Amino acid sequence: MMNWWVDRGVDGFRMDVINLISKAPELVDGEPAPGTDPGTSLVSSLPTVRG
Amino acid sequence: MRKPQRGLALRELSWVGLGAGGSEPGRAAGTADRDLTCRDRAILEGELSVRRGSGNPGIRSDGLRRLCRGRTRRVRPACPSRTSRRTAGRADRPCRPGDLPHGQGTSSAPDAARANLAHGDQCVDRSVSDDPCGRIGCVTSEPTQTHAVPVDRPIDWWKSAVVYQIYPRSFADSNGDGTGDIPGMYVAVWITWPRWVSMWSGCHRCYASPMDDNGYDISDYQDVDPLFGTLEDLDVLIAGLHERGIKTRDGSGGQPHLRRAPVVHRVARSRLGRSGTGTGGGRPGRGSSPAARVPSRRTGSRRSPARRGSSTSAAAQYYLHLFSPEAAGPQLGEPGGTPARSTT
Repeated sequence: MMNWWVDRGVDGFRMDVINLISKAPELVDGEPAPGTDPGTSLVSSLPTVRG
Repeated sequence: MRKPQRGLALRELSWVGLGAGGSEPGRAAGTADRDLTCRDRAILEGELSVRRGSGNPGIRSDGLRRLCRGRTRRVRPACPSRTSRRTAGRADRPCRPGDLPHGQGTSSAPDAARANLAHGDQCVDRSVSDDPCGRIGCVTSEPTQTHAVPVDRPIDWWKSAVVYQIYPRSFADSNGDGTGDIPGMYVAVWITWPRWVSMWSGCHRCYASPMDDNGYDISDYQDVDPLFGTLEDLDVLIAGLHERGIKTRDGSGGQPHLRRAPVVHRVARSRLGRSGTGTGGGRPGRGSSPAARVPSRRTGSRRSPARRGSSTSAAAQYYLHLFSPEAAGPQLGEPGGTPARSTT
């Protein structure tokens, strides 16, 4: 898909909230934490984000 | 006043904009356009040939840079520019798209671009240069204006690019429907373009979408939502921005003018019932958990449970959505986790 855009003349991509691109594989409960959504640690900045 | 119409009107505006804006004294606007296009294409085609020649290895975590490591040799005729960059006069023939900078005819395009850009640490104010094809960057002596530019690494343009990002819905409306659109961007950019801008980011939320989440919910990553225009409009905008970048003669730092960044989005549209299975593409969770084990302590940004059951499937299935309930979050590397259709 990205190559398709490159071929169309696009020169770069904006990676919006790329830290959320991978998630824990199972739908498990997150631990409530003040000030954050429960389960943030299950979807944000997992090791696979860094390829 | 006649409202701009898409397609043809854009091309008319392109001509008018370039003609009226081609402010170099003594140079016909049309000729200036060709000159500028020549220079820009020398850069862009050079990079594209590198990307394509490397077999499109894909974009890895270190970004576009890796795309551009390969080399392909491409021999094309040099632009028949004047013999001296400092000599006034006309070229034997107008520059054509694909021409290399003057004197670079036997080099590959990336080499040509790099050679011009690697000439020194200071860039010449392009307004004082008179060469139609060689003004990629630091190509002449006696600099009159300097920029801190990584001139020896044109591939790294993005490290110093000044990005101009707009919100498409409210930026410029060309057809009076109350929503900004791509033709509006085109016109507005042409009129108000700040010269220090080197990258345009305007269509990051223009994908085809049911607009359940203001365009963040994408139904087709390879199409433009009719609200904003068409793919043809986008092509015109991209081409126009490239031309405009070349036309910018100062403050652009000698970088290739690289435009428009679509988003690799945070959510993928997944319509329940669309596929008949209640899961759709991009379902991140393994959705066959019994209802009793469905997580309840995960929420999306909309403060709704980050799960959703299928009303069409006999088995209770759930998927994760981090934002709109109508947009399931794709899982990296999982079949169906790629939201776009196959490349055509």
